[in-house]
Amino acid sequence: MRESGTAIGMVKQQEGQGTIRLQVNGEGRTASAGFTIADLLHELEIRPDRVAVEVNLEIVDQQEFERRGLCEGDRIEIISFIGGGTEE
Amino acid sequence: MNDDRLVIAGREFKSRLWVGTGKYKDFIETQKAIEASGADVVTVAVRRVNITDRSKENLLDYLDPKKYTILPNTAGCYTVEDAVRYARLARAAGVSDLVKLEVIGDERTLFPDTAGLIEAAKILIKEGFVVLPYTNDDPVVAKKLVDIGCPAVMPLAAPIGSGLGIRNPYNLKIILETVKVPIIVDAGVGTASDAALAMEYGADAVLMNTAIAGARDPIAMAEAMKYAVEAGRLAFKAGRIPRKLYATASSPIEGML
Repeated sequence: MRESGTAIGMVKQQEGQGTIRLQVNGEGRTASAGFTIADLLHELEIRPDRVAVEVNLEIVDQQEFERRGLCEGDRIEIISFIGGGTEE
Repeated sequence: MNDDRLVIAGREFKSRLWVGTGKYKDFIETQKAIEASGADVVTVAVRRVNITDRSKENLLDYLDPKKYTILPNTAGCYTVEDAVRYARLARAAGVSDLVKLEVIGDERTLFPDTAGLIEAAKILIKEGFVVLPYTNDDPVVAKKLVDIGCPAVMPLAAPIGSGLGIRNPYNLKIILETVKVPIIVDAGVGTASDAALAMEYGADAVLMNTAIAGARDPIAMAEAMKYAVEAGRLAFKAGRIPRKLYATASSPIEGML
């Protein structure tokens, strides 16, 4: 696990000061304070309609992506569907 | 066969062959094989998005959710907690509230942990999921799953990916006789005759992945499976003749010289 990954998000600086550290799918990353889930997905070029997002083990509804801000130390899981029948 | 639709929890399905999407060479092959199989239910696994390789294409770019019923599974889950978590995530990703529930109990055989399966199914049914449980060929467990509200049961033919065909035909027949919801034989099919046999016994559908994806020519095998399932279903409905030890001539004696 990398401690600091790519710096993401230079937008929405007005909503917070400096950067926060996040764990995204097990990897350490930094983001601007005030970043939302929607911002994060946009930054990662992930279509929001095909993923589910968990923040600290709690699922966030797709409709909440725009509103849900991220905080220092949040553990985020972004999941989607891959090829699989039964246990591979 | 248009009047012979499979209905589960109010949803109608045209094809009685359901397919998995794993182990294909690429998405094009996946798409072509599924097309050739005629399946309208495709099962998919729930996994982390690859955030480091953003160029990676999405499976759903190749499987139009308008055309196919996407059936997320909880493959790889060994605990009730994990299976429930994966099912919730799958629903949150917005394809449907269907889930093919797997709680695996053993790494080598990939046999289900049926106690965990029942527990997880109860939790998810309470949350409004349509739970299709992957289970053992055990008639008692199958009945329990129906009693707690599963609208179909998916007993295995043989261990996942083993290609052994139906290992326990008598148990399967007992399940088919005693369980009054659709039975989808899931896992262990090796070739077309295995699928046809499951359907001849009276299974309502067959789900497979490796038998198609692992064949030398997956697209041709997908087509073979389509016909096998259709033929088996027709034969089941037509009613086979009884087995007899001795011959019965099919040509009349009358008129012989």
